[in-house]
Amino acid sequence: MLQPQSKHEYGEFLKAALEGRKIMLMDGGLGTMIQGAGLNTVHAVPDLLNITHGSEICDIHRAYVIAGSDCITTNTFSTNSIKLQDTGFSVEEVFTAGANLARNAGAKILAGDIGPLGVLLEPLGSLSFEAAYEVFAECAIAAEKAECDLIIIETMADLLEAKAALLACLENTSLPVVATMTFGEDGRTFMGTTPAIAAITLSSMGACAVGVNCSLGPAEMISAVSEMSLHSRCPLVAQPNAGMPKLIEGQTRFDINPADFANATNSMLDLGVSIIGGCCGTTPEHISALRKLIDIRENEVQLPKRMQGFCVTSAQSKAFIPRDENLVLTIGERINPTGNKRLREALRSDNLDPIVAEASAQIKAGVNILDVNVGVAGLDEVMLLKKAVQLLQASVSIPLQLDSSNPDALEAAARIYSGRPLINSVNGKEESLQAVLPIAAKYGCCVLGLTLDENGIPPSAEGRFAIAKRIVERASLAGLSKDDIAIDCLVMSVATNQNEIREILRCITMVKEKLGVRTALGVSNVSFGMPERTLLNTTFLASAFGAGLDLPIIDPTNTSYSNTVDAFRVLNGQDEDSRDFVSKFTQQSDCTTNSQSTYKEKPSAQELEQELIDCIYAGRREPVANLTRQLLTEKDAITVINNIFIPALDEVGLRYEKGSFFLPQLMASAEAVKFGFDIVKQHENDCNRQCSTASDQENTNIIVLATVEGDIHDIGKNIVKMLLENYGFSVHDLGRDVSPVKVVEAVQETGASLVGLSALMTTTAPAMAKTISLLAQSVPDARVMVGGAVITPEFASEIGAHYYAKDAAASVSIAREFFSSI
Amino acid sequence: MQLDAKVNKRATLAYLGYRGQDMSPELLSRLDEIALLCEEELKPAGVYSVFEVAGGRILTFDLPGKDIIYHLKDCEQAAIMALTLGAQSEMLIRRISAESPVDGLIADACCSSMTEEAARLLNCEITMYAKSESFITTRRYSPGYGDLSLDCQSIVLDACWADRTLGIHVNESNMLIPSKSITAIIGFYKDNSLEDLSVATAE
Repeated sequence: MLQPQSKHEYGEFLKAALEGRKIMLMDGGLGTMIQGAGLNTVHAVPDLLNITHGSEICDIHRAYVIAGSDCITTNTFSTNSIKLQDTGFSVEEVFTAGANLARNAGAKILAGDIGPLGVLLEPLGSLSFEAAYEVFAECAIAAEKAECDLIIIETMADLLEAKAALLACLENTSLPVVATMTFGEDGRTFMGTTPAIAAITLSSMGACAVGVNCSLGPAEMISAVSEMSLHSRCPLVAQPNAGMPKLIEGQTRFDINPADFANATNSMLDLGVSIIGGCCGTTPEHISALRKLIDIRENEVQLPKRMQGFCVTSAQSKAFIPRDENLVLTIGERINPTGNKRLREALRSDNLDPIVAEASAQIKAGVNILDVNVGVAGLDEVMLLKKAVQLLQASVSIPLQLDSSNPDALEAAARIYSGRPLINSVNGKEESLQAVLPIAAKYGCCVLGLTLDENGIPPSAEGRFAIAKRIVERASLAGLSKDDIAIDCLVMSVATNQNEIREILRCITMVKEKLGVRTALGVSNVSFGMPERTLLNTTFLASAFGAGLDLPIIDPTNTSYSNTVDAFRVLNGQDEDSRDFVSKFTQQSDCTTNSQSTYKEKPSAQELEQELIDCIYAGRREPVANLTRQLLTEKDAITVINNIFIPALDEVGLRYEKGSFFLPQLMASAEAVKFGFDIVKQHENDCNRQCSTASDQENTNIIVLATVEGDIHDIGKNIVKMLLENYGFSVHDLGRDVSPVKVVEAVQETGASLVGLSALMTTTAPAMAKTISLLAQSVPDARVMVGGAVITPEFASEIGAHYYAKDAAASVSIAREFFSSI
Repeated sequence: MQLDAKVNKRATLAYLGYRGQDMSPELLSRLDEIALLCEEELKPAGVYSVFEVAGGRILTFDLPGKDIIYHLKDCEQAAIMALTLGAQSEMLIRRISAESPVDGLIADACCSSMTEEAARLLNCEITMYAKSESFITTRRYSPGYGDLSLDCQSIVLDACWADRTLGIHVNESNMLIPSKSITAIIGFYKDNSLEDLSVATAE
């Protein structure tokens, strides 16, 4: 093959390789060669060899140039401000030296190498997305300043970290960016990301090529590359190891010889790989062997054979509808504070656990995508949507739909989302098109378009269709493909717009057939103001499926809706051999048969009371809720709380003290009472009355709870929280790994007079002392109780804690005593 | 390597403080359901590497404290091992805890027992390997015990490539992340009495 000769030709060659028209051969293992030269123990960060052992590094690069590498990677895998800390060298110095060495070795094309930071991002680790972005930005700027021709982000295991790096490169340089991730033998990264998810997410965001490197040998890597080729929107990169690593004496050994490596790696070129090289264990001999095979192929380059279709992902899973198939995917609508008081309260108190609980319940009900809406008047939606998304992506593994009318909130959430989200929504208004489409394009998202514009929602199918068409055209101009768009034809209530319902259905068909995009619909709007809403909704849902609806937005926990979806999936041929349907309804009929009970006479109030108490002791949540509901028809709320709940909780506490109950029993009883409390509150709200439940004490009996800085164990703290809440205290939970400053700020903001601190490890106990000391300085009136596996009464007293709680039950006694005394 | 570890329900109950109390069938079935979920969703994996030892010290790198030297005093080699239930275990516990603190507590205990079980399986692998090399193994010794400070966690992870192959990291407090992870050191020694016996038999 004729090799490029001049700098201009190199530029053209690189461009052609990044467009999948030419094959570009990278170099092989750098660490392997450094180890071979006996230099691996010189520095903790081998990149410093660029400064101290330049000629040796230059020799390694030169060996790869001679072997036939078109592109040389700089020795800067660990060159970032985190790993260079305390070395006395800056990122720019090491990058510049590294690039000069590669250039001096005769590199035709120079790739600035950026590796993982070696620390975990939040929430698993402590590094924020923004901080990671800043570290990567410094690397990217240094690479461009050092006159690299492209940047290669490599060996990423965390999709979010790869995304931070990619954004940092794209936003701070004009260089083309290639991104590779590393997968285990199970085909996933440590964080559970598959090659398909990595490919669609990173290629949609603007990576010029995406691929796989390290961890696997060429034989094991083929399936990962093959999977990527089905979803990547750009050419592929493959840099396998010289076989699977074997760890001997702490040193890795690889055993595939150059000829076998080249043969196995060469076959990846048929899958759409146009940038190829080696990773650990490969040497100039491996690259030379590969050069010979590539030269034989001349320009036989394949582009990835992508399966086109609508695809949104989380870091761990994807929701995909191939372009030529009519599959139905459901979007769960329950994470929305409108009409959900519990979520509103949770968002106001900054406790987002109920959002995760809502997500989990919908996943159990079989939903495919979760809509996330956190809009509450007066709250900072930008901050909240971002926070909710961070929490959800650390807890559940299905894709999210980011739901907000605030473009800033959408961008903040899309930026830190670990995957490819669906944005809900853009509409036909010029302002919306201009604000939202660039966000969707920049972060590689799919977008939901609403058929409304400055003139409102047109009543006719044609009117709605015209807006949909405009949205699709504008999205295309912004860089989105038809696969990235779903149109919501907007359901009106049959009570007010009866004539429009048929128009909506007609519009769904038009949008699908004429625009070739997916359709979504918030089904339940149809029945507003009508009786028998579920009947109307399910009938409408079935009609909409007939019209071509792909993405119903529903409450999946309502079995009428999920059953309709399941039934349609059978009729649609999506549920192969009706397996899921038969399995679900066989199980349900078994349950129905088993649960058929014999007739019982209505129990007396006394019998109900005793049954309720027994159920509390047994920790039976649902029966406690049902019995409380029944009892409230005969007794008032105060009586139920004071005569049943509180004495039962006291008895449970006593049994725990005596050892006749163990911890899960204590907690299960407390949880069952919480179910009862919720019924009481709901009952009082329904009756529009006030009762002296827990909420009455919220303004005065406030407790701030936290697991101290550095400590990630929060189970104990969560138990304390639950028990305290049951006794009516208003608990402000700061979570785990909380800095002393945050504790003080929370006490000042909430006016809490009692603080609970927990620590499980000896290594984090000093952080408890630090927190108490800062509390004593800043809010001297606050009292502190401490607890946790390693905390003793002596230690508690030594560090200035006011109370020592030996367990969760003791923390309740302390809080009761404390608040009764003030 | 993948470790086919299951939840040990007896150990799980022990972590939860169970001492023979009467439990409701509901609580037992919650334990069963959560144990099943853990086993379905989590894929424990482990790794180990063997190093030369002399005078109780690993030759390639230093470990702090005297206790580990005592532990390895008769050993010729030592395996450094690490295992984890993976990042998915953190997600699972968070998700379950948000729904119900009781279930969260049970899930945490199930995962702890599963981690211990994975450690036992990896230990067995190492013992088999040692046996194939005519060694007998010491018991497992983990950082944080005796005077083997947790500060050495990053050295241990680095030595067996657990950071790169399993994704185990340490935070500023030297805690392992994912938290359901274990590192340990196992010494390999020769049983001299058996050697003598074999010599005697040969004679």
